[in-house]
Formats: sequence, C-alpha cells, structure tokens
Amino acid sequence: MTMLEVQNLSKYFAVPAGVVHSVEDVSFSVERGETLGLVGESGCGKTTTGRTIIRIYEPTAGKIIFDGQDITSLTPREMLPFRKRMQMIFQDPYASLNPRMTVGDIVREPMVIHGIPKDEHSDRVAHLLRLVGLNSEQAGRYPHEFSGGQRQRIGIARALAVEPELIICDEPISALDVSIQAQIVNMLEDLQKSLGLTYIFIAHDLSMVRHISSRVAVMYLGRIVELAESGELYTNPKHPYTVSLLSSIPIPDPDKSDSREHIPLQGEIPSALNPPSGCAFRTRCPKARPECAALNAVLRDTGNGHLCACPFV
Amino acid sequence: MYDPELFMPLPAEEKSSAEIPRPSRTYWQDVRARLMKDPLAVLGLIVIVIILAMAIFGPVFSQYEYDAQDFMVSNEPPSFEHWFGTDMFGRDLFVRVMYGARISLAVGFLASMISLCIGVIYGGISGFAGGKIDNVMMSIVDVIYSVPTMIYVILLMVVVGPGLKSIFITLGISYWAPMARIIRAEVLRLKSEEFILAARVLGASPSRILFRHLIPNAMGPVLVTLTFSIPGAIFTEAFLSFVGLGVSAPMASWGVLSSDSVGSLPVYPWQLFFPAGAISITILAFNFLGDGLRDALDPKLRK
Amino acid sequence: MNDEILTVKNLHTSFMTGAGEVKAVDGVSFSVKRGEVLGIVGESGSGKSASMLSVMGLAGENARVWAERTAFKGKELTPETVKALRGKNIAMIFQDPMTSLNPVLTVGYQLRESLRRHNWQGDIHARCVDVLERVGIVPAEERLKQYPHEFSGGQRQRIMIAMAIICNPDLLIADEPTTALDVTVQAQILGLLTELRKASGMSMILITHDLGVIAGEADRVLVMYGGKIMEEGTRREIFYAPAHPYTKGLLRSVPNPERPSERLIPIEGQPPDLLNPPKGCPYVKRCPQAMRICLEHKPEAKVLSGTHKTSCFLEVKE
Repeated sequence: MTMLEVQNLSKYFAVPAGVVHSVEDVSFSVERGETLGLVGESGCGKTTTGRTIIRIYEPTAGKIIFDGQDITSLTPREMLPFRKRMQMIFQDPYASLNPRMTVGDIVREPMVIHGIPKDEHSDRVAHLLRLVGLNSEQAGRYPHEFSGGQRQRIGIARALAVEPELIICDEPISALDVSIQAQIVNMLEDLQKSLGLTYIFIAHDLSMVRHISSRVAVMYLGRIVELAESGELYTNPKHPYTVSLLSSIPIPDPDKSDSREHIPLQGEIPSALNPPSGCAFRTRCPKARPECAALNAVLRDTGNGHLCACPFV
Repeated sequence: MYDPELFMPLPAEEKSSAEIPRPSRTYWQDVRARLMKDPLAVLGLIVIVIILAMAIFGPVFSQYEYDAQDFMVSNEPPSFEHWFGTDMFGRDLFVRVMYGARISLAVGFLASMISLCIGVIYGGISGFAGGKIDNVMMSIVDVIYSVPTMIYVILLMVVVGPGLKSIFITLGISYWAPMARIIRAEVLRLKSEEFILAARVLGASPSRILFRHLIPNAMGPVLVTLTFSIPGAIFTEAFLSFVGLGVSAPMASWGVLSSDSVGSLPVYPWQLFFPAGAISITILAFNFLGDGLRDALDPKLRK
Repeated sequence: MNDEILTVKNLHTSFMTGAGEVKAVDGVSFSVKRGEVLGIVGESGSGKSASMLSVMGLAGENARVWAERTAFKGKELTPETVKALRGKNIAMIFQDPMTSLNPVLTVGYQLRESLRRHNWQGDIHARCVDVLERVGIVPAEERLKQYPHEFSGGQRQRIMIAMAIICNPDLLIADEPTTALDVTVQAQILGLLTELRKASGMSMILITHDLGVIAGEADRVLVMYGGKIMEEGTRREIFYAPAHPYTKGLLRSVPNPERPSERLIPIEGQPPDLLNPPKGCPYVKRCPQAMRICLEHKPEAKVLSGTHKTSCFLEVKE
C-alpha cells in the first residue's frame, strides 16, 4: 500500500543572484512500513525534498499525495490533520529543541496543538519519554542538560507525540558521535516495528543508509539519478555517480580499504543556480560523452525496478 | 598487587552510581550566576535598588513634605536638618530629590515598558512575516529612526501638552523603533532554527510560534536594550523638564530640580549638584548593569 | 630514538570554565616517527584535538597545560621554540578552512606572508605557484590573485594544505581535515595528502572520528576516550585484534559491510561528563566488562606487543 507518492516535484528558490533549482522533477513513492533512504552530497536537494514533502516549503511544481490524498496545495488549516500523520526528526540535536522550554513542555506541545485532552498529557509525556529510553522524571529539565544523543531522543519523542504514520528523518544521526549513532538507529528500527512506522531516511552516511533502508534513492544536483532496492543498489550500482560515491566511502577495514578500487571524481558539485544542461552530472562524470549535454536524463527501469537516469548503462 | 575482589564484575546499578547528576539550572539561573560574578554589574544593581528604595520609601519617612515651603530657611546650604540644603522656597532638597527620583524612575521604567511592548510586537511580526510586509514595516521604522528623537519628542510634547502622562506616551512611542529593530533581527536569526521548523511541522499557529518560541528566545538582547533605554528615558525626561516641557511645580523631577537651580548656580551650587548627581549616578548604574547583562547573556561565553 | 619526530610524555590539559575545571587531556603519551601517519580516533570530548593544540601551544588562555616531556626531533620544546617551529617545521590544518584564511587578503598574499615570516630562502613567487599547482589549484598564477570566498569548500581545504606545506614541514597535524567535506571531495583531499606525504616524506598526525578514514590512511592508531589513550597499536592490530572494550565497541557499532542489515551493537550510555569525570577508567559507565576496580583505579598502559598497548584492567587480570 502506498503511503506517499511524490510526482514530478520541483522546488526553486529565488535569490538575489537568480533562481536556485534545489529540487528538479523528483518522483518516487514510499510504501507503508518501509524505509526509503535519500542520499547525496550537500546541496543535492535531499533536505529540501523532505521539507517540501512535509510542506514547510511550498512546492514550485509537482504533486504530493499522502495516503491517496493530494496535499500539494492545502491551506495550513486543511494541512493540520496531516501534520498529525506525518512528522519530522531533525539533524542538529542542539538546535531542534527550544532552549527555553522544559523537556516535558517540548513533548507536550504537539498534544496542545492537536487538542488532546489536558488530563492525558502528563501520562502520555511520561510514556513517550520511556519509549525513547529516557527517564520520565527528567521531564522538568531543560535541553542543555542532556547530551546530543539524549536530545535526539527528545526530538523523536516529540515527533511520536501525535502518533504519526510517516516520519521524515532528516540526517538524524550525522551530528552524533559514532558510539551514539547505533543507539539511535536501533531505536528507530525498534519503533518502526512496534508502531508500524514508515520512514524517509535522509543522510549522507551511505553505510548507515544501506543498513536502515529497504530502498535507496541517490540524488545529485536536485535530481534522483538512481533508485533501487538497497542491497541491489550497493552491490550493483549502475549510475556512474553512484559508482563513484560508493567507491569514496571510507571502509573501516584496513585490508578492504587498501585493496579496493577508487573511482575519483574530478572537481566539485556545480552551482544549483546554473546547473549544467542535459545530464547534470556530466561535468564530473568519468564516462561523459558529447551527447550528454543534450540528453534528457530521466529515470528509467533497467530491470527489476532498478531505476537509473543514465541512458548508457 | 590488587585485591582479587576488585576484579569482580561491576553490577549495573553501581555503574550509574558513578554518575552524580549536576543540579538543574535554567538559562536565566545561569545568566544570574554569571551576572553576580561581575562586580561592576552588581554595584550598578545595588545602586539601582538603593535609589529605588529611597524613591519609594524616602519621602514617606522624611519629616519634610516635598512641597512644604518654609521661607525661614530658604536657600540653606546642606546641614544636619536639611542634608541637601533647601531651595529658594525653603523646601527640603533631600526630600525633593527623593521625590524627583519617583518621577524620573517611573518615567524611565514606564516609557521603556511601553516601548518594549510596541517594539516586541511590531518587530516580532515584521521579522516573522518577512518578505514585503517586513520591508514595509521596517521602512516605517527607518523613517522614524531618521528623524532625531529629540525633535520628534519636542514636537509631540508641544502637541500633546506638557505633563507626566504625555511624557510617558511620548517617550514610549518614540523609543520603540530601536527595540523593534533588535527584536526583528533576533526573530530573523531564530526563524530558520530547527526548533521553529519543528513547531511548523507540528502545525503550530503563527502566533504560537511567535510568542512561545521566537520571542522568549529573543529576550536576552531585548533585556540589554531595555536596561540601556531606561537611562535614556530618564535623561530625556530631565532634558524636557529642563527646557520647560516636563512636569510642572510643585511636582519635582530631577530635570525640574536642575532647571530651577540654574539661575542661582553661582550662589547656591549645591542646588544643581544634588539632582544632577542623582541623574549621573543613576545613568551610570544602569549602564554598568547593562554592560554586565550583555556579557552574561553572550552566547559565546555560554557552555 | 632519533627517528622520532615528535615525542609527548604524560601530557595533561585542563580548561578553566565558568562551570569548573574541565580535564580535557589526562596523562597522554605518544610519539610520531619519521614518515609515518599517526591516526588519533575518538569522539567529541575525547581530548584528541585538545592534546594537539596543547603540544602546539595553541590551547588558549583558559588552558592549563603540563607535560613531563615534549620534544621535537629530540630537542625539548619550550613555549618559545614551539612558536618558532609552528608553521615552519610543524604545520596544522583544521576542519573549517575559513577560520584559518583571512577573507580580506588574497590567497597569494597569505601564502607569501607565511614564507616571509619563516625567512624563506629563494624565489617566493615561484614557490607559491609551485605549491598551489601541487595541491591542484590551477591556473596557479591567476588564482593567487583571488580571495578565499572565490573558492569552493574543497578548494579552500586545498589552499589550507598549500599553506601548511609551503615551508616543507617535517610534521603535518591534520585535525578533522575532511569532516566538513562531502565524501567524493573527502576522497580527493585524502588522496592529495597521501601524494604530498609520499613526495616529501613528512610525518602526519591525522585526527578524526571516522574509523573508515583511519583504516584507509593511518600506519599507527591511538584510540582516545575521556582524555586518555585507551589503546595504541598498528592499524591492523586496532582493527583486527582490538584489545580494549571501547575499541571493540566502537568497531561493532558501525554497520558491517558484509552483513549490512544485521542489527547494530551500540555502546550503551552517554559520553562522560568531563566536568565530573569518573575517578577510575573514563569508560567504566559504558563498559560491558566493567569490574569493581575500574570505578576507583586508573588502569596503567599494558604492553601487548612491541607496537600494541592498552589501558584496561582486563589485561592486568589475566
């Protein structure tokens, strides 16, 4: 059953220097109960995609269909019931909690907004804090008294307070220490199982995305260049960008690290103000051909639902 | 070399005992602790409290009335009976300076509070709305800002007429512009923080975001500006009274007292010295406190 | 002993903060040999950056630094000699290149300045063009005239590297040099550092939290936690025969590329509170094998092989 469908979504930002094409013609769907990974380097539009889906940003073009209902152009009031059903977890555990509110107030706020009866609040706050591995006596404390991992748990408790079905996890572990990342990932997996959640997991840490996702979409300069089942994508990458990206991940194993082949990319990501014509990756692609400048690099199925935007594979 | 007992596994409950929780402190408790470490700020605060106490209770306990005239003792120098001497009508200057403190401080606090209310709401809305609304609202502030405050205040006073109430109103509505600018800058900075995005994702209404999330987090710089704007208002009131646009006799503000004494300055210099000294000490004390507050609120020093 | 470029023995650093004394480095000893890459891996607050800044005399005004011995090529270091060596014989690069580049001066000016400061003998301009070409910023002649904001993040890090190697240092300290960069750019920068090192024979201290970067680049590794060295060994010893429970935990908590969907084994608990550190081993609260002794006593470093050392009572017990 499809939880979310994104059709030809684009998001442009007007800046003094011109128009930034942050998200360009992105389409994908997320099935109920699965985790879709969204990976790419900074500026590839993965965060903007997440924020546009949840309507913090107004989409420039395209459609967002949540559980069969088009939510692309709902007013804030019409959007309110959907805000109960989809939530977000943020990257920076130090910036995502209001420093002037106690933990209890932070977790209670969604209940206040969505009109959950007052007498239930305290019990639910205590329950939510226990659910994310915190002590319910800590509700009276302020965010700065907690470590990064604990704050991320508070953020998750806040998102869970409205009992959502879909959670967009926007780089939820990239600001955390290695030893804490695994705690949070395990917790997200446990919550997914016990609460039947659907995740969109946005990250640049490819090995963690592979671990948590059932399917993975790779983004480059606002577009999805490859989308496949996660095992398939990592063992059999097709797009030249995905191939280079995977060969760039440092492997925590000396022998494998020494023996594998690096496919270095030249240069850096071009500006989204002025993206290259045709295939946006052609300026760095080791297999670029003259015709790449003119082609229309759309995702096509290369077999078994493995989508790739490069026509030469 | 070690007791083998020590190599027994450590039970889980003893692991957590290694952790001594630190006492819970709110942001404002932190600020207060840092402020109390700044000797000049503490001095300023003590002076302000003393002046406030004298303004409130001084005239009550004094044996003289602020408007009681006694021509037998006019223009007396400071003495045991009259600590600050007397004026040309034989009124006790000590009680008049204390009474003047009531008016001057009331003007300072109230005018600042009025400007705070207007400034916070105006600046908050402007910064939060952003875009065209922000441009228009800030252009209005720029226009107000570009007219020298004094001209503006004097014009308003002439229109509204002198008196205590009109001073409050005039100062209040002319001091809000800088406050609005500061709030707007803070709101603009905070608006893109993730906790604001989180509130939007939760469906919080704009007013909830503004009053629950944005403004409480912008209060630090506001407090500093407020502390600096109080002496500004006191000084402006003194100036207005000095040029005859302030409160009228027999009421006494520090400006009125200074103004009254200028004519006889060469002969009875203490009549100017005490009210002018009171103004200076108060302004200095507020500036010390404001500097200390600014340091105490500085996020760079926060750990 | 004379192939030791940098020797540090029993280094202690505390930062005096408003909330109390923070013991950032607590009795750290290590050495760097000629031509080798010493990797220092640890999480935030482990003291990995603080120990380097302390050795370099850059720990800041609120720091109290004490060491039994610090020496560069066998010569004792004093605050004055460190100052003279800094930038010339020992160079540093940091995570954020913008904090070390002056935005109002051209790149060429800043490169020339560091040469002049260290009395470079020879053609200054030719040297600047040469280093810039070696770090891959071309055409060097033109780019020397540009300002830092005209370069991308990866290029700025290249310029930082150019500034670091311009005086042919014996030791390069790279503090999280690629943390702020994307993986494809990270691979470029790490490749560049290796290439430059091989050409000049300089030693490098590579500070990072990324086990993958350490596995790919380091010859020897220090694993730090709570201001102490938990384990020291060659790359292979650390990754294939870890002795300390923290090292083991760290390696287990990242996804296994062979079995990517297998459940992760995290290290439970929170990082230590440096204001209020445990009396014994800093890892005691999170260690699955903690013993009573670990609460009160600090473990000594136990030698496992000529290159492998660990500070854990489990080794003493056996």
